[in-house]
Amino acid sequence: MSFYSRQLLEKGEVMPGDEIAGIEEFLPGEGVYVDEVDGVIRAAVVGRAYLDMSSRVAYVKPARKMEVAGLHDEVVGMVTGVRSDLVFVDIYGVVRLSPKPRWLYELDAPSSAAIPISQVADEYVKEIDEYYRLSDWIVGKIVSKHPPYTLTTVDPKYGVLYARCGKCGTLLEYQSNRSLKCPKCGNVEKRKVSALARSRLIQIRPIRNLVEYRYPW
Amino acid sequence: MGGKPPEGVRLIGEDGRRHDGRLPHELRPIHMEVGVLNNADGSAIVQYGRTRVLAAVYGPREPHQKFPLLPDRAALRVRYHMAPFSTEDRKSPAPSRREIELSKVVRESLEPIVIAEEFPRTVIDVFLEVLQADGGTRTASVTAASLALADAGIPMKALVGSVAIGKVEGVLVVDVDELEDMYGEADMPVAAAPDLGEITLLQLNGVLSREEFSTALEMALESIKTIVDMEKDVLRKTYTSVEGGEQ
Repeated sequence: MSFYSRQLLEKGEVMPGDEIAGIEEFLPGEGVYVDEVDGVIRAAVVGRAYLDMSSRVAYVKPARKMEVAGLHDEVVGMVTGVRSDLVFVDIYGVVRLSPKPRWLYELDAPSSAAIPISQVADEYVKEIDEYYRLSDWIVGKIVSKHPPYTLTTVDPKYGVLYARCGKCGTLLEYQSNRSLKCPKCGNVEKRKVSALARSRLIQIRPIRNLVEYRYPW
Repeated sequence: MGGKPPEGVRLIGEDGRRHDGRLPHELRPIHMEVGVLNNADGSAIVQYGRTRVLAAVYGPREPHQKFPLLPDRAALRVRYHMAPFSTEDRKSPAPSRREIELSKVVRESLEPIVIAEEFPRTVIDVFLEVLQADGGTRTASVTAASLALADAGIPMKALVGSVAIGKVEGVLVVDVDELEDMYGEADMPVAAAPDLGEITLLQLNGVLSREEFSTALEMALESIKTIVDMEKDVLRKTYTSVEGGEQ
C-alpha cells in the first residue's frame, strides 16, 4: 500500500500548541490554527489529530466538544419579539431533527437570534403575525456563523412547536400546518406549525408560566 | 517585602536549602486535576504546595448584559477572588483593589493564547477562587485557568504555565511561598507558553540586577516548561481514561 492510498492518517493525541503539519502541505481544518511565525499547523484543542491525505486537510477531533450553537445547527427557542419584518428569538438548546428528533444539549445562556421575513415560510408572507407570535416555542435552523444568529424556518419541519391561546392562555392544539386551535375557548390562531409539532418525540411540558422541556427527546 | 523573618526561621540555611527544605531551583509539590466541577464547562484545581486555586470556565456564551461584547472576538472575563477562609485572618469576601487588579493581570496573561476570534459577540467567563493562599496565588491561578480553558474545549494557541521567581537573602529562588514573598528582596511572577516561546506575563516587585534578571527569567521559563508538561500529562490522563471508559 502506498503512502498516498491511505486516506486518513492518525497523528495521535495532541494538546493545544502541538505541531501537526507544515502549512505548505496541508490546509487547516477544525480544531487547529495556523502558526504564521513557524509556518506550521498547530492543535488548538485537546483531542486526536488526523491528516486527511485526499483533501490535504489537517484537523483535530476534540476530546470534549463545546456546547455552543453554530452554523447549520437546528435549534429550539422562544419568540421574544415580533416586528413587521423580523421575528426575534431566544435560542435555548440545540436539537437534531433527522433521522429521529433528538435533544442534543442546552446552551449555557440563551442566545439571541432573528428570523427575517424572507426566511419565515416558503411563500409570500404578508402579515408576520400569522406565522409567529410572542412566546411561541419554535424550532429552526441557524444560517449565520455568529450571534445574533439568523434563523430559517422555510422547511416544513421548522416552525411552531408550542403556542398559547391569545385569548385564554391555554396551550393550543394542532389543527393543521397553518393553524392551531384552543381546546378551551375554541379560538383558532394562525401559525406556521412545524411538521414535527405532533411528534411524541418532541415534548415541551408547561408548568405554570414556565415551560420545561424534557430531554432526551 | 523586606523586614526580618520570624525568629527561628532561616530563609536560606547554611546548606543552601530554603526554610521548607527546597533547593533554590526546586518547585513546591504541584498537584493538578481537571473536570472537578460538574456545572462548569471546564474546571481545574491546582495546588502549588499549600496554595490552592479552583478555576471554572463558562462559555463562549451570550451574556445577559450586552455591553462587554466585542464585534470581532470573544471577550474574556476573569474574576480572581480569594475565599474568606483562604488566609490566616478572615478576608472580606468583597472584591478588593488587589483582587480587581489581579483579575486584570490574569486576564491579560490568558488573552494572547485564547483564540477568541472564532467566537465574536460572546464572552468567556473564567472564575478563579483561591481556596488557600500561601504565596503565588496569581501564578497558580494562571495555571488553573489554562487547564480549565483546555478542559472546556476552548481553542487555545498553547497551554500557559506560571511561576514566581524570588530573591531571598541574595539568592534567586523558584516558586516563592508566602514567607519568602514577605521577607524576600524581590518577587517576579512570570507566565509563558513554552510551546510558542511566548511570555504572557512578567511582573517584578523589588530590585534585580541585569544579570539576576536574565538568570531569573531563565529559571522561570525552565520551571514553566515543567509545569506545562504536568498540565499536558493531567489532560492526557483525564481524556484517555474518559475515552477508555466509553469503549
